[in-house]
Amino acid sequence: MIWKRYQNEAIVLLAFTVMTAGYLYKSSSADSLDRVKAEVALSATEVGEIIALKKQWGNEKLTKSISRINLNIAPDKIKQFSVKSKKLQASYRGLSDKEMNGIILKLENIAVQIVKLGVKRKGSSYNMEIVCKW
Amino acid sequence: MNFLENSKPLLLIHDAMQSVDSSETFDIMLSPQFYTLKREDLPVRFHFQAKKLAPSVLENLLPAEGNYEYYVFKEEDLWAFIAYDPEEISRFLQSRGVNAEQVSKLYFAQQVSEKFSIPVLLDSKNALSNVQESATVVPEILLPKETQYQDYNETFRPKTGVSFGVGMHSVIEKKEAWTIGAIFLIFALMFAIEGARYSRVIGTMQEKVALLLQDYPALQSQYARENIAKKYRKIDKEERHKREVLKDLSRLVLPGVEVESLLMGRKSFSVTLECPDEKSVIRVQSLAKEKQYKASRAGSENLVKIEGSL
Repeated sequence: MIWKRYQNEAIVLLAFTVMTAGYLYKSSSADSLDRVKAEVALSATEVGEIIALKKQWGNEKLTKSISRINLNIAPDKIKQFSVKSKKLQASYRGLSDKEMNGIILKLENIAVQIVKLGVKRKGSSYNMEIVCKW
Repeated sequence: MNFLENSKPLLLIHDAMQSVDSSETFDIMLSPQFYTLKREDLPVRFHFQAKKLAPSVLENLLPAEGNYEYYVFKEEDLWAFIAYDPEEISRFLQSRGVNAEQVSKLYFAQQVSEKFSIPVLLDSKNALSNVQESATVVPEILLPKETQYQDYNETFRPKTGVSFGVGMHSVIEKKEAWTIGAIFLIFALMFAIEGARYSRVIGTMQEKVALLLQDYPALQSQYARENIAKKYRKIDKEERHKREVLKDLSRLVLPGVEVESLLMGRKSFSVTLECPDEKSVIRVQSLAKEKQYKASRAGSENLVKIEGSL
């Protein structure tokens, strides 16, 4: 009876309720979208950064390419050069200042973690020790 | 059980009707005392066209005061236009103990005028009869004495009727209610479509991320990503700093200056430079201090020791 008496108001109220529900659905979807956008942007940035950093500082190919620091160095001056488990231990004797400088420059340009770099002058030549990993 | 059967009693509404003492719901059939009828031969084909014309067709027949509604139906070749005042009917029903809300459907005697060929006695003075194809209340005295009367019953119920008693106490009129309701529903639909679009976009974005992470299973967990990123950011920062230091130190090796020793570890570095003269010593010390390194003379010779942390 009451429903019939106020049917017009009920129609308006029902439509308003449906509209409100629609609005709440839209709002919650918009909020979720903003949150997901932020998450996705963060994840993409993070993943991209990690991939780039990993590629740079954990490059598997370095095991092969690290030996290029010995270019133009006479073999008799290389006392030790061992690469084990992504770790290099090298020592040189009787390097000229140019050779010493060349090795340091090459080391700077290779993405390895320098654990120890030691240079000691002996007369007019240099002894050198390098420990690095990647 | 027949769900389609109308179980509501059908009341014939006329001026002389008795009061009704019941709270049940009724369907009512109006006698011509409560409506105005006009039949017209109009060149319109559709019902909605005829209904639009109803106010103008009945205009001259209705008192100016009154809030009329119209009912139109086709009678063979003619359109039958009926005007009725719901408020007047409601008031009358109230006077006979029936609330408007108790009424479900409203019918008009004219809809079944042919059934009144045998008159129905309304009271001791009047009868409802079919006169020239119109249901008409006629004084009983005018009917022939041998006239047979029939009882009013369910068989008089027409196929179609009008809803009545709906929203009689509403502040909002029916038309307004439907208009406002429709606007709200349009907005609701727009919101729902927009919401659904957002949801689809969310799904697409999540798929893209899942696809990206598919190639890097180790990075699927946020915690793992943070840890790996932290580790590599630290390495990147430290190693860049070491290389900056090496570049700075190489700039301190001025003409004539020679490196005596260099030691770079995980946390600190130190370099000893041999300078040719006092002037170079001062210059090297000054340049090292500019770079915020600790520079000091080592021994009595022109040796400068530069130290710093990594």
